[in-house]
Amino acid sequence: MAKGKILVIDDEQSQLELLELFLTRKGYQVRCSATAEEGLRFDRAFEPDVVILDIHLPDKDGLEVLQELKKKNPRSNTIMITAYHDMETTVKAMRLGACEYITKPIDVDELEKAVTRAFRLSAQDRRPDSGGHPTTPKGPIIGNSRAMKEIFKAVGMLCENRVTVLIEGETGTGKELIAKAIHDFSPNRDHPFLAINCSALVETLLESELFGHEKGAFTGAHVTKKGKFELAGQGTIFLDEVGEIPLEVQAKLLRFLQEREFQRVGGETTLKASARVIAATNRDLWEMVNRGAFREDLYYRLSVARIHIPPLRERSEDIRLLTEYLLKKINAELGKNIRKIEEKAMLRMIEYRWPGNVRQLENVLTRAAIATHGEVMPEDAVLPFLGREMAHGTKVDQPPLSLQEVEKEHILKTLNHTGWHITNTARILGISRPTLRLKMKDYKLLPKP
Amino acid sequence: MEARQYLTLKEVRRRHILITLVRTGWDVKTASALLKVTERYLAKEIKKLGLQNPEAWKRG
Repeated sequence: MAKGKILVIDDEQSQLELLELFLTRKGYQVRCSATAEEGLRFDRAFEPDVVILDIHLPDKDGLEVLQELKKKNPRSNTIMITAYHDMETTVKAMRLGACEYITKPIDVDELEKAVTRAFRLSAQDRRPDSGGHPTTPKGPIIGNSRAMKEIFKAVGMLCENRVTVLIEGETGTGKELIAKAIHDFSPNRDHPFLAINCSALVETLLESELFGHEKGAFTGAHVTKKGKFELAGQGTIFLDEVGEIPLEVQAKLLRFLQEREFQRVGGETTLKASARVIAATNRDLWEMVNRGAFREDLYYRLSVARIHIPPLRERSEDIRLLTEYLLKKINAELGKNIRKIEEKAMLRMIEYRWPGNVRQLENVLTRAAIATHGEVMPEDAVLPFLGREMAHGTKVDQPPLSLQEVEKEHILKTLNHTGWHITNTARILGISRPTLRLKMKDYKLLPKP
Repeated sequence: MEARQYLTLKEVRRRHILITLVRTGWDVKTASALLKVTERYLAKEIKKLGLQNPEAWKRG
């Protein structure tokens, strides 16, 4: 018996055949179509559970087709395929009700996973129908790495509801941009987005910033002031560096998240507010919970949904794309006309560890742009800003090391750091002690006598 | 989650493979020669580590 019905709409004949073959073998009942018009006709007659839809079709925009599909058959789930990948299209597609998104060239494992998930969703039929209103693209979030695509998907789903989100990521990874994107794509985008940095204010001031204060609540409180939660209305409050909130204020925040109630500082009346909360941290909050520096109940309240933004060094594949975008921006700001970055400079940047992440990349490019005369940014302009912290001491001009050499060098470096303490070294490296011993033997790593 | 000085072995391997791929323009054959591993092994690692050539779509 067939597992379920899938309709594939794709104008590329070879791809269509490949998908048909693959899905038929997996036991699905498959119908194919090369145009939007035909696809929509099939959709009516065939009543598929899942539609796989290419975003580029000869006769119609894929997003429009998606909208029509959803209107006619809200129960079916759609997987979008595209050659492009950008935040805007993904978020649009997710908002219009696509449940999955895969990119060309199609990876069959990825496809199969997406199909399985789509069927699970249609079985549960729990997707609320999202009213497809047009979106205003915002937030220059750039990335084509797998990790970033997952983040785009998450943004697309989270903008539809109002759950509390915790965004984790090192400093400079763009936590606020993601929070802003969730807000800007939400139905409440016309309400305020208020960001507050919890580490920048002393305790009493933070409390009054968040919840407001009554006249005379403390010295200097000459007038009654509304807090951010009141001011945000139906909008979004972005709590940056939420780990820095003192314990007393944490209790108040918890109450707000649980009951949607609070009192102004020095106030008696209980007020209500419905702002959405998005929190961000560059610290390990869970570790803070274990130390007793952060309330466990608040941690769970905040992390209903979590987004982890990887550090730039874990997505070096995005650096080319990022520099292209940033350079355009910097050119406009500085009135320069730099069109290209010398390949050697690019390699340096790809290998650099970027402790300050994308923000640091932008700073370095700006400073290098100032030092550049002409249309090509040379290696010399970039190098002074990269410090000594190159990847593993490799020189761009030298042939790259083999995987084993790099492994060996790193183990040695870590051993020297811990004073050849096996347990600590294994812990840092994230491997077991026996594995470490084995590798030390293989690489002939012995402590100096 | 501040940038740590010392990375895990897995992170170092991932980074090095990624950097080599980026340098070779995602030519698995050349990259595997530089890394001194077999093409098959590298292809498997690429998949396992979830690495992808972000420029791939440009070639269609």
